[in-house]
Amino acid sequence: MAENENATKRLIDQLRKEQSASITIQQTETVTKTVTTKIEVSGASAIPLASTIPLAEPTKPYNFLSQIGVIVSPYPLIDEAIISRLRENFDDVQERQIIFLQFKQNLEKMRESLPVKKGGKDRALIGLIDAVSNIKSENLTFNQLNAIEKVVKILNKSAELHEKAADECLNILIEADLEPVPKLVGIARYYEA
Amino acid sequence: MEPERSTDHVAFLDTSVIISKNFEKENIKRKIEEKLRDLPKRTSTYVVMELKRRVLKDLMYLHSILLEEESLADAQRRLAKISKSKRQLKMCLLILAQISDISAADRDEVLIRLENMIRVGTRLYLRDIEVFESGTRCDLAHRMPIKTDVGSYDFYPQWSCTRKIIQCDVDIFINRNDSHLRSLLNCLLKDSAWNVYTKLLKEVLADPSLARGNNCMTLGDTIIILDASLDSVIYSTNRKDFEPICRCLNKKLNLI
Repeated sequence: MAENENATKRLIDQLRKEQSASITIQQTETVTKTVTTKIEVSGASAIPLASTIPLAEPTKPYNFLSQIGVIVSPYPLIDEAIISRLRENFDDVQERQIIFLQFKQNLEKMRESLPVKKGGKDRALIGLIDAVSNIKSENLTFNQLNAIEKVVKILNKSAELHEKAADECLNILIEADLEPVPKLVGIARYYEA
Repeated sequence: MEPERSTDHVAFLDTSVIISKNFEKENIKRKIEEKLRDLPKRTSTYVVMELKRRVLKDLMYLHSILLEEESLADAQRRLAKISKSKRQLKMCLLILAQISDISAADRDEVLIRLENMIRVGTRLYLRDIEVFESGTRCDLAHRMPIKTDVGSYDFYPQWSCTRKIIQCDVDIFINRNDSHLRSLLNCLLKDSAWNVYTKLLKEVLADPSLARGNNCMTLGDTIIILDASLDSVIYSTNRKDFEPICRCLNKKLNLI
């Protein structure tokens, strides 16, 4: 594990020098004890925004650089860099629209790629998709962006999500006045007395 | 120029307004939002019970049907066969159509969206409304949908309200509001359209325990109106029932 961490740190230092980009690292230990290191590079870069580099064996040294550009992920990741860009350009209404649409499309692609749709994680993801679909960029508030970012971070943290954690994601969105469920229109008349 | 609005009162929302606020056509939703803008909004747990009994139960029913079928088309065909009324069929089909229209969602995705609505719907639909305990202390209002072993949803504890099982203080509520209910009775007796209602009201005033169970549902509008505090204006879309009851009970009403 320590070897991997050191190797990862070295890689990050190298990437920082080469790409002048910010990098965040997360480590996930799978059931089989295989350690997966995820490297996200944000900012203008030749490297895909969300790259994940698997380590074949935790004990064996791994040539990270040869794997750059190859996306192998145990679960799909939501691009957090888009949210950073959205935050940086929030006051520019045009930029906000352009970037928010990219974020929506990014989520949409992820939804399409889901092999099976069930369980807490998919439920939270679809709740997030509905929440962003139900709001236009011009009505988006900074508080709502914070809530979206919080949920994205929870979703990116692990492959699975407990039902309660999924509910918590939906509640974070509701508290920010977002609607993580489809809007139903015109059914009220069926409830009239 | 925007018309002047009174913002010095509490808006007490009945079930019909909460349903319209969330499930009407967009232009009507906007109209309601505009009317309620800047007003403190309140409702009672009795209204929450009605919301659960109507909307949440429908969503749970729809979820269980779809869970058992292999496709949306199968679920639609089955609903057409078994629905108790045209109202129920149309509503179920409309909900399914609207959810599946989103990015051409498939069966699994519709199931997930229904699940989200069941699990957090009550919170979402009441998100800007302060809820206080009804004088009836209706126990059903506090029932929560839980996932069963087969993946469908049911209320816990189970949704049952009979006269034999004491789950509320509706009889105490009737006693406490005896004078208001007698005024209401005298007022409504003048209108033959309320004959069935006044007959029940007489029976309940004579024996408040009769208010439990199904009779409670029949008296629902009166209970909601009596739950509203004196400083509030009741907001409803139900002109037919709320207008005469509010007039008789001297309660302020704003029809949407």
